Amino acid sequence: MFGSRPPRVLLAKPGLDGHDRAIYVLAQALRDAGMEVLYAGLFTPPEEIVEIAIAEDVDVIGLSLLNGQHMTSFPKVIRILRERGRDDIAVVGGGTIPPRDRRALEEMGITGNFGPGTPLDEIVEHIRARALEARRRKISSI
Amino acid sequence: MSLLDGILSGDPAAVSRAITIVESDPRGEAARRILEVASARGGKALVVGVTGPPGVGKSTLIGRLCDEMASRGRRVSVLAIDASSPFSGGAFLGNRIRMEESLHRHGVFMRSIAARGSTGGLGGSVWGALRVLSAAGYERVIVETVGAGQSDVDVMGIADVILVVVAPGFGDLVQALKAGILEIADAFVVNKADLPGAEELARYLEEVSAGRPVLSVSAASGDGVGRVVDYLEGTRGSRRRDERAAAAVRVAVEEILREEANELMSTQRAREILGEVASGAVSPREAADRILALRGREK
Repeated sequence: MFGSRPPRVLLAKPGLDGHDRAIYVLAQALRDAGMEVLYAGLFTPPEEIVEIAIAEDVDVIGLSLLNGQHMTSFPKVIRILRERGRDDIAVVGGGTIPPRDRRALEEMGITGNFGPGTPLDEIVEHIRARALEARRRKISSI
Repeated sequence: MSLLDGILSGDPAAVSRAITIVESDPRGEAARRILEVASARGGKALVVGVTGPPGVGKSTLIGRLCDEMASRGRRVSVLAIDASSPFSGGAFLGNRIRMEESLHRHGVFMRSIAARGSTGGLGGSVWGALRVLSAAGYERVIVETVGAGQSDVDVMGIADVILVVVAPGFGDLVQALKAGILEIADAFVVNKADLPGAEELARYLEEVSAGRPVLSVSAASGDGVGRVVDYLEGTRGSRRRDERAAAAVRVAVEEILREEANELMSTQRAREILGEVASGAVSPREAADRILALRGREK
């Protein structure tokens, strides 16, 4: 049913972090890799990110923070998704994330958690894999 | 709750998934059922098309229109259409950024649609999405397109009322004229009215607009937006009904013919005929006639 659709990805910064140059670079790379990319803009609260993801019916939410707030904001996003029963939207993280936090985020189901300097191809392919996985869980029954 | 019940009760998750289904597989069983139920419910959405050259401030204006309409008690939703890359098939759907605050403040449902390189298919999915939104109880649907050529004119064929947005020093009017977006306007909006050149632009449009309204606004500050909504509230969406039906059917017909053309072109016999065109033995037109003669015979 949804096989022919390009992967859809929402990029977001769930906190007080005004740096989004890298987001635009990643958005361009994902677009060049054949994906449909949305960006929620700066300072978007977790609830709002989930609302946008649902209205846009995306496969992946890509979260990025460079201000050290990832351990409070990222888990909120995945918790709200679970409350709404949306296991068909994957969450991928990135930013200034120390190894200890990476493990904790992985355990919650937030994958990737790419640090600065990660090759774009690696991020793009990871997002593609998570999108395909999420897509398989999308329900098309009416 | 089933998806169909969800649509009729206006649940955003159900509306969103229904749009995905209608977009992905417009002639599949699920899409047909959704459109049947949505059409039976009907609804009374006034479809407002907003188009104009890139950079004139369409998204900012739409955010303001949402604020103003919502504050007058209307349920509003937005469909924003963006081009897909002809090279990768991907798209950057960036229209939300400039209106996110307004959308969130009033619970406006917004969906971004990538054109995916097909004007026909696009018309079909936009038409389907409009049906779903109308059935879900939205009274106003704003459809944004980038104002660049035929595909936009086609999509705008399904709008009840069309605003063409221009701004001084932007989106060269000659280009706009070439793209045919001036002809489809019901009203013109001159945005960035505080900038030099805005008054001249408005005067010029008044000369060529043949009585159609020319409304000056500053979407950034909100000045003049109320007057645009007054105009929209005063329009009767029925004026274009025949035109709209024709446009919707035409894109569907084009889509079906395009699919059939692709099928015919990939048959063994068609490939042989193509070889004769390549060698100069047969003209393209004659080849097309021969390929079309294969219809219903060879799959």
